[in-house]
Formats: sequence, structure tokens, C-alpha cells
Amino acid sequence: MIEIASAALLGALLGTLVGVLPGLGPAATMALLLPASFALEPGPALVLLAGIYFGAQYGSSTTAILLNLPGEASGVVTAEEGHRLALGGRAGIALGIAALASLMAGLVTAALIAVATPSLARLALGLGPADVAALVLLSASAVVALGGAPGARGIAMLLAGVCIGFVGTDFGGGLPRFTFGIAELRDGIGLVPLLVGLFGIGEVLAQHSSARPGTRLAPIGRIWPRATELKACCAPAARGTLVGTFVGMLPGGSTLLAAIFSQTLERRVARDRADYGRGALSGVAGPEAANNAAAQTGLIPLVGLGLPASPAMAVLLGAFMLQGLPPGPALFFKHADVFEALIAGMVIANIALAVINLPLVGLWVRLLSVPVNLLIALIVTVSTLGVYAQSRLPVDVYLMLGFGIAGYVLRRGGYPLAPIVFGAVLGPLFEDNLRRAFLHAHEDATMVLREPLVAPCLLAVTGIFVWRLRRRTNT
Amino acid sequence: MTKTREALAGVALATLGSVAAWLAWQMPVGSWDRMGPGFLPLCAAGGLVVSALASLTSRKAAAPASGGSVTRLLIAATGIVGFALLIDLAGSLLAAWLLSTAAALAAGLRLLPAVGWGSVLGPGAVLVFVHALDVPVPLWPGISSQ
Repeated sequence: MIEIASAALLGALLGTLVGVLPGLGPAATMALLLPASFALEPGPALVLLAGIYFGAQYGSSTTAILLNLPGEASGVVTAEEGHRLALGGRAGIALGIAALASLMAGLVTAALIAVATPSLARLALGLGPADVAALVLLSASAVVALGGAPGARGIAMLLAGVCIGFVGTDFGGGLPRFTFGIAELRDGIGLVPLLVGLFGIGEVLAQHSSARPGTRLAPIGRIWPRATELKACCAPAARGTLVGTFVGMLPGGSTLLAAIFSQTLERRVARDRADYGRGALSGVAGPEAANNAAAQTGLIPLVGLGLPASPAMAVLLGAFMLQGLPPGPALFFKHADVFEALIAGMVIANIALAVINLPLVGLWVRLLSVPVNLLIALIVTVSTLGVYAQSRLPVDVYLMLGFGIAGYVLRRGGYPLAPIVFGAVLGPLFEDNLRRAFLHAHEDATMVLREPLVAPCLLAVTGIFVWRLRRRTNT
Repeated sequence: MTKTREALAGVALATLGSVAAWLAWQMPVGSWDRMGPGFLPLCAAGGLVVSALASLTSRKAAAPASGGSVTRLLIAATGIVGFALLIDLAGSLLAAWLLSTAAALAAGLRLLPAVGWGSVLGPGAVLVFVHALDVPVPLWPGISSQ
């Protein structure tokens, strides 16, 4: 238990650091720590990586509220009302509400994950390859539809990821695909160079010359809210938890999307909705609960079905594989202790984040005064060393650079990067299951359609595209 | 300028798709009930070409990232390539020093401060990887950390 608690604490602190500092996001940081986590037991390793993701949500809200400078995308929503509260002399209250709302969402969703995931995994026991392929197709469609990018761009990035996922040896016939005769590519392209290149090197180089916005650090003041303020924030935090729980389970349902949905809801129903634009507490409590809930409930489809809902969850999937524990029903029968450790780690990380982070607010904010060019050099050096260290193959460093340049060009062209990661992870899974489904069907395609989840998933995919098309026509 | 960047990204994706489609076409494709290794790669690459071309005509883009400089990107890229070339020949300490110095230059430091920061950062990062994280990387040619 001490190992789990230490891993949760370390992950939470590292995640907060990543959330505070713009640049290396949680997915790339988790990817960089994959090789180091392999030295740990499975439970602490997974808790460490998950803690980074949860911590990043907390860290981002700190700088979003105090400086209007979120380190993570989801903090953008908190910054709107949170920074206005800070400018009005209520920075401490906003920080306290953000921490308590996140804690509430974190504990509620940890309980939900403990109950819902094993049931989902039991359901997954009855799924055949056609059902899994249909679920993957549905996930991919949801990634494109919810990803915030216009349709063609999202689809193009997803398919580019699928092509990257096909690099390596074909599992069916042993034929090398897209390897260009490079022996090191026969095992495929790893998640680490892909993620670190796209989200580490590419992002840092694309953004570094943009000057930091003129920031004004608001005085922090009283942190712990009064009973009336707490009471006023309970309903928004509960609604945010519900919204985040639902959005987090959807593939492509990012923490940012959860925070946006929650803020939209609060603008309509919150008691203090008249305060929006001047600093509304519900505009902090709702989105903060939503982004933390969404970050955590992404574990339900990941652990239950092996389907990642975000790039960070894709890294966690990689960690499960590295530890020899493929997610799904077998995990609960053979390694229930790992799942229990993950739940315990989530609870510890959430409590640690609320208890430790508030007193450390000053330290996190002072980190932002470190010159940005020193940080960029640090990120590039650590990223490159980390990528080399995980395989000790220089080819992985070249791949990271290639993905970094691709990420730089695509970001500047306004293309979303997350679908590439989904494509690279889901593509081979889709191919494997689709091939097996049609092989079992013995030339009778209707057999595939008769599998229990295939028709509902295809209907849902059609519905998603019709909805997108109608939205596009209406705008 | 933004239009040019969007077009560049779209054309790059379409080109990638075309190359992938051509490579997939060289493999046995098979049929839907006996899929060969080229079947789904061909479908994905074809879809990539079509969607990349369609994205060129789409009405709006996601907010493009601003900032960044190609010169600095090239300096950083040179450092990264130098690291990959040197790591097995000269060991991680020298390779990491070159990498971190180039990264500091790319980040906008002048030559002397960049060399100074690189001299602290590169070897420092290697020592953290080797001693704190227990990752085996060669410190000098022929001398492993383990």
C-alpha cells in the first residue's frame, strides 16, 4: 500500500507540474515515463501514470485562475470565470472551490469505476470479433465527431494514424508493411516516439516563439470557502460530475469537451448565472468537476474493453500491455489486485491533490517565472533522451523528430493531432477483429451483421454522421 | 499565410496517403472474406487521400497554432539528428551535451549561454536517467552505465 500511495503522490505532483507549465502535456509526459514505470510493479506503475493525468487537470486550473494561463486545454474554460473571480479579489476562494469540486468528482467517479468497470468487462466476455470491430468503428466515428475539428480534417488525421498503426509485420501472413526495408520497423511504430514527437517536440516548437500573454498575478487571499459558498457550489459540482462522467466514457470525449458542456449547462441553470462575465463560482465548480470526472471515467472503457477514450488513455493502454496485462475481462479474473490498486491510487491521488496543492499554490506559480527558453531546452533534451532510453534504438529518435515536424506542420495548418493517436491504436485492433469476423463468417456476410452489437453500432455510426452533416448544413 | 499553411498540411497528408496507397497496392489485397495484408491499408490510404483533398476545400479550420520559427525548428532538428548519430559512437554524455546546446540555441539563447546551459542540462539529464531512473544508456563509447 505504501508503494501505491508513493506512486499516487509522485504522479499527482508530476502531473500538477505538467499542468502548470505550458509545453509538454500529460500524454507525452506519461509516454516518456513508460520505460521508467516498467521498473515498478504493475499496480504502482499504472497508478503513477494515471496520477499524472489527474494531476494535470488540477495544475492547469491553478494557473488558469491566477494568471489566465492554463497549462492544459481543459483549463481554458475554468479560466473564464476563475480569473475574473481572481481579479475581483477572490482568487483563493476560486482555487479552493476548484480543488474541492475536483475532489468530489474524483471520489464519486472512483467509486463508479470500481462498480461499473467489472460489469462492463463481464459483458465484454460475450463479444465476438465482429462486435469488437463494430465497437472500434463506433469509437473512431465518435473521435471524429466529437473532436472539435471539421469532418474531413478529423477523418484525414484518423486515417493517417491508421496508416501509421499498420507499419510493421502483418500478423496474418508475416509480410512486412510500410517498413521500407528498415528492420527496426518490423515491430511497428511505438506509442512513445509518436506521442512525444506530436505532443512534446511538435507542440513546444510550434508555440515557443509566441510570447506569454501579459499576466497579472492576482492576490490569493482566503482559500477555504464559507459554508454558504460551499452550499452554492454543491449543485454545479454534482452536475459537472454527471456531465464529465458521461463525456469521459465517450471516445474522443476530452476533458475540454466535458468542461465546455458543463459551463454551457451552468450558464443556463446555475443560481448565480447572472454573475457570468463578472466571476461566477459555478463557472469554476462545474467545469472543474467535469474535467476531473472525464479524466477518470476514461478508465471505464479502457480497463473494461481495452478501448482508449483519449491520447493519455492510449498511453495507459500501452502501460498495461508493457506490464503483460491486456485490459478486458481477463484482467479482473487473473489480476484483480491491479485493478484494486488503481482504484486505491485514484482515491489517494485525488485527496493528495486537494490537500497538498492548495498550500503549494505559490510554488507552482513561481515555476512560471523560469525563463521559457530554458524550459524548452529541458523539454527537448528530456524528450529525446527518454525516447532513446525506452528502446535504445536511434531510429526511434528519428521517428520522434519526424512526428515532431509533422505535428508542427499540421498544428500550423489547423489540423487536430489527437485523432492520429486513436487511429494508430485502433487501426490494428479493427483490422485484427474484422479479419477474424469475416473468416468465421465463411463467405456469409449476413452472419457478421447478425452479431449482437454490429447492427446497433452501425446505426449509431450512421446517426453520428447524419448529426454532423445536419449541423454543418445548419451553420 | 494561414491559407498557405492549411494547404501545405493538406497536400502533405494527401501525398502521404498516395504513397501509402501505392505501397499497399503492391501487397496481396485479397477480398473482403479473405483479407490480404494490403486490404485495409489500401482502404485507409485511399480514404486518407480523399479526406485530405476534401479538407483543402472545407470551410473552416480548427484554430491554427501561431508562432514558431522554421530556423529554430531546423536548429533543434539538427541537435536531435546529431544526438541519434552520436549516441552509439560517442556515448550519451557528449550526444546529450550537443542536443541540449542545440535545443537551447533553438529556444532563443545566445551562443555562450546556450553552451553553458547545455553543459549543465545535457550531462545532468543523462545522470538522472542513469542513476535515478535506472535506465541503461552508454555513458562513453564502450562504457555502459550498468
